[in-house]
Amino acid sequence: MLPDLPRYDLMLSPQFYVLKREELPVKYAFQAKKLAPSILEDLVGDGEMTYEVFRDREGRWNFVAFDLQAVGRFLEERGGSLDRVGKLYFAEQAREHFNPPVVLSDTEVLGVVNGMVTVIPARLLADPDQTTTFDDSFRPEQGFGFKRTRRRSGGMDSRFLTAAAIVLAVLGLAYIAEGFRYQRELGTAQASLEKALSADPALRGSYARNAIYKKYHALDTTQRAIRERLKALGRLTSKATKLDKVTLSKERYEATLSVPNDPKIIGSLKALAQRGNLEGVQIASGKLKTAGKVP
Amino acid sequence: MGKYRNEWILLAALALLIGGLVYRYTMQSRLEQTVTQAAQTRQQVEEIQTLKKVWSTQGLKEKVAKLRSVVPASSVRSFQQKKQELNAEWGGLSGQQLNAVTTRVASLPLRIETMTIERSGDKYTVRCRCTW
Repeated sequence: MLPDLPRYDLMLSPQFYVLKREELPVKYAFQAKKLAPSILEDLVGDGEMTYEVFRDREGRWNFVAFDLQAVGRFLEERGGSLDRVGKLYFAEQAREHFNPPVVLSDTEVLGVVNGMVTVIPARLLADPDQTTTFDDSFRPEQGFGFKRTRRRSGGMDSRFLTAAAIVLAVLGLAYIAEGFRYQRELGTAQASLEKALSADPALRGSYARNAIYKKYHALDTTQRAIRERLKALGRLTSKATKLDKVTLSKERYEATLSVPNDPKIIGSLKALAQRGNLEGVQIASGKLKTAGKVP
Repeated sequence: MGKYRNEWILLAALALLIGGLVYRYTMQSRLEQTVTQAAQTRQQVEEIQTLKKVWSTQGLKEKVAKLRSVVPASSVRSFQQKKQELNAEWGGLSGQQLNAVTTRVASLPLRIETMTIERSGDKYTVRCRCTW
């Protein structure tokens, strides 16, 4: 397990990175870094890799590719976190310090083979007692700013996630507040409905209310229509025109009137009948007949 | 869990947003429904109350009895008022009397089941059956 420190720097051993050394006529690190993906193309597999470059003492460019997420997982398995890492270093940067080798575990040591820092099985050491201790003197001059290379282990940028979460939460709360407002108005509307119904408790149930409404509405429509027909027929009568027979019921009406053969009077009777909504008006042989439905 | 802490927070915020949206639209829909229903119910109740008033049968029995005296007793051929039904016949009515009888019947909140008016010379006969 890693010590529970709030912050620490990390030196990666070669298991975590792929390194290629090249002598290139490139002056600046940012230029070299742009070339790193193509130079290391054949050495790295799939997955999101992070690239760094540094010059060694001989002035050669060292191109490094590493999987930051794998490093993060390794740290988390040991109680650490990438969030606590300040600067990153590569063991290759401190090559001269690994001779004699540094013990990594009972079975492995970190030493220099063919000019490169390499993990070596401990049993292959010529003199197992000739090892050195890893300390702060190993710290290279150049460290890699973690912020520059950091990716969250979860895959998404932390600040983006936080901002998005705040926006969503604020919107959510705004909707809830609006919902509360609607709920309050709903209470007022329900109170208004209750008030309307309290006038007549018999009308509280919608079924009973609709039945009562239909009953009174039908009664009103029919009886009003009967009275309107009666009134309209009354308007047709005068000294010259007389009712002969009128039959009225809730379904139909029929009426016959004696009328003079005066086109003027007949014209005005027709107009009156039309205004009174009398249907099927026929005038022939001094008789006006009308019949229709009620209502 | 710790590794995806921010993602979980985002997910919770998203759930809050969706929950808020659902709550808001549910409340809005319920409010609209209740407001419409309240307006319809209020209108219906008011209409029922008006119609009940118009077609109220309170004191109608006495008003119906007075129909007998609209025209001289000699013109009332029959006048049967039983429970909530009236069967009446007026005969030998002048035009004016016919008008008086039909206007008075029509002015009362009676349910006119049938009404017949017949003329013989200058006189009219009215028969009607009404209920309430």
